[in-house]
Order: sequence, then C-alpha cells, then structure tokens
Amino acid sequence: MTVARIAGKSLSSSGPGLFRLEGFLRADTGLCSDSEMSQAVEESNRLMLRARDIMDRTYAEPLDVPSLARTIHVSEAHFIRTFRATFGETPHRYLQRRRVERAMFLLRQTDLSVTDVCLAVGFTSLGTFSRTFRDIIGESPTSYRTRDEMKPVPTCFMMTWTRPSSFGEAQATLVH
Amino acid sequence: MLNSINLSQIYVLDQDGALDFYVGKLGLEVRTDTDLGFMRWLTVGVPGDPNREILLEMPGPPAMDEATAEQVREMVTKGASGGWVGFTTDDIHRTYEKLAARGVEFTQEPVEQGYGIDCGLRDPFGNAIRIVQRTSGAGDTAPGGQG
Repeated sequence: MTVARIAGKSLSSSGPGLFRLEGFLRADTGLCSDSEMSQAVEESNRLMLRARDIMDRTYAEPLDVPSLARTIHVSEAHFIRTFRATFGETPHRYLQRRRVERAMFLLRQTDLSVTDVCLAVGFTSLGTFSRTFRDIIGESPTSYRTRDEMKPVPTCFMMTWTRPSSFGEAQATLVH
Repeated sequence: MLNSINLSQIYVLDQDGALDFYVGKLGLEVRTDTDLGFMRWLTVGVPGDPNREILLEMPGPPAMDEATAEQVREMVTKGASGGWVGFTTDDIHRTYEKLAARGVEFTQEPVEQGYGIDCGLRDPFGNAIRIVQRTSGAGDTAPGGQG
C-alpha cells in the first residue's frame, strides 16, 4: 500500500484496531514528501491519542504498556518512543499518573480504604501504590485524604487538569 | 447586550468524514452546506434547537498558511486543539448505548456527578465531545449552565 492511497482515506474509515501505519513507517525512513509526512504525523498522533484514551478509560483494568502496544498494533519500542515524542512522557508514566489521579479522586470523594482505592485504580500491590503515590504527590494517601473536596466538574476535565504532571507546573500547585 | 450564542466552530480534517460522524452517528442535522468559493461553509445543529449551530471548518489557506494548517492538524489529532463541544440529552444511558452501537469511540462511560450524568467521546479527528443528562434543579456551580 502506498502512502498516497493512505492519504485518501479519512480517519473515520479506520475503526478501532484497523490502523494504517504504513504512512508513519514510511515517514520514519525519510523517503516521503512533506504532505505525506504531515499526513503520517496526523495518523500517528491520532493513534497515540487513541492509546491514551484507552488508558483514561480502562486504567482500573490490568493494563500495561506491552498489551497497549498490541492493542494498537505497533511494537512496544515504537509505541514508547512515539508516545513520548507526541505527549512528552512515556506511556508507563502517563498510566501511573492517571491511576494516581483517580486514586486522589477516590480518596477525596469516597470512604473506601486505602487498600480498596489502590485496587480500584489498577494497582495490584499496596506497597507499589503507596510508594508511587508518595513519589508523585509528596505525601501518603492517608495524609492526602484530609484535604478539602473539589467542586464537581466533568470527569474528563478533572482527569485532564488534576492528573499530577511531570511537566512541573501542576506539581507546584499540588504539593504544598 | 448579547443574548445568545448562535454559532461556534471546531476544526475538522475532512468535511465529508465530519458529516458521516456528526450527522450519521451523532444524529445532528446539516444547517448549511454551501460552497462560498473560498471555503465550504458547513454547519450542523441539534434537531429541535434551531438557534445554535457549529461550523465544521477545515484549517488551511488562505485563512492560514499551509505550515500553520499542518500545526493545527497536528494539535487536533493529538487531542490538544481548542475544539470542544458539549451536548445535553434526556436519557444519557440510552444515548450512550445507541452511539456505542454505531461505533462511536467513547473516552468515558456515563458517570454520575452532582450536576447530572455525563460521558465523553472523541470525533474521528481528535476533538473532545461531552454529553450530559442534567439533574433537574442542579445548582449554578454545575458546568454547562443551570440544570
């Protein structure tokens, strides 16, 4: 299949799991024109966004980077490299911070025990959860829980804006 | 002073594909689809809500140079564009089932909130869309206006 043929296809015609990556792979080799390259970047972005959406939707399930790469039909190494180039962090870090963000939400809004919160957001070990939470937030889940509630906002906004980021700016407001 | 919002805009990367999605799947109706010569003016709206429509606009020359359009397309496809639309419904679960059956890509299943039940999805290009069934009498802190 040539890149030109791919360029004629709209994204809407490729259902989940049916991604056409040839364009992107061609772009990697540096053998295509600017418009083909641009088309390839858009298809790649959309694919990475789809993988990120899967993490946002199914963080509570057993989900890891190799299985995500399989779901979107790319190699693990390609997935990690491309995701990082697209969003500025690795998929593992994105998923970890998504789970911590959802844990923060449950700690604030529910009476679930810390162990139940840990399991509810997809961690399988309390030790890993507590360590990861403290590494990212700077305090323990139990201590975090005592903070004030937030106003109700659409979940995707909360997930987008309160996920503790590695980019620095969110860290400054989250850690007192 | 101002008394309503009648028109808003999002960038799409393919207007026919946008029609397939916004009309064919989400069930909106075409309000205007006309060739202005320099652009295809394409708007859609919710049936029964005649005073508000959304312009489905292609980024590109002469509104912006090709390099800028390329940046816009890259931002849209990574979900980082400014485009964002919120809809209301009377029955969120039924709407969710119906759209899921049509192959719509959901980012979030219906979740109960103080102001209502809402869910999230993406259009084929990467724009975010939310649908909410408002709780009657929800307070004015509710996103999306009064309940």
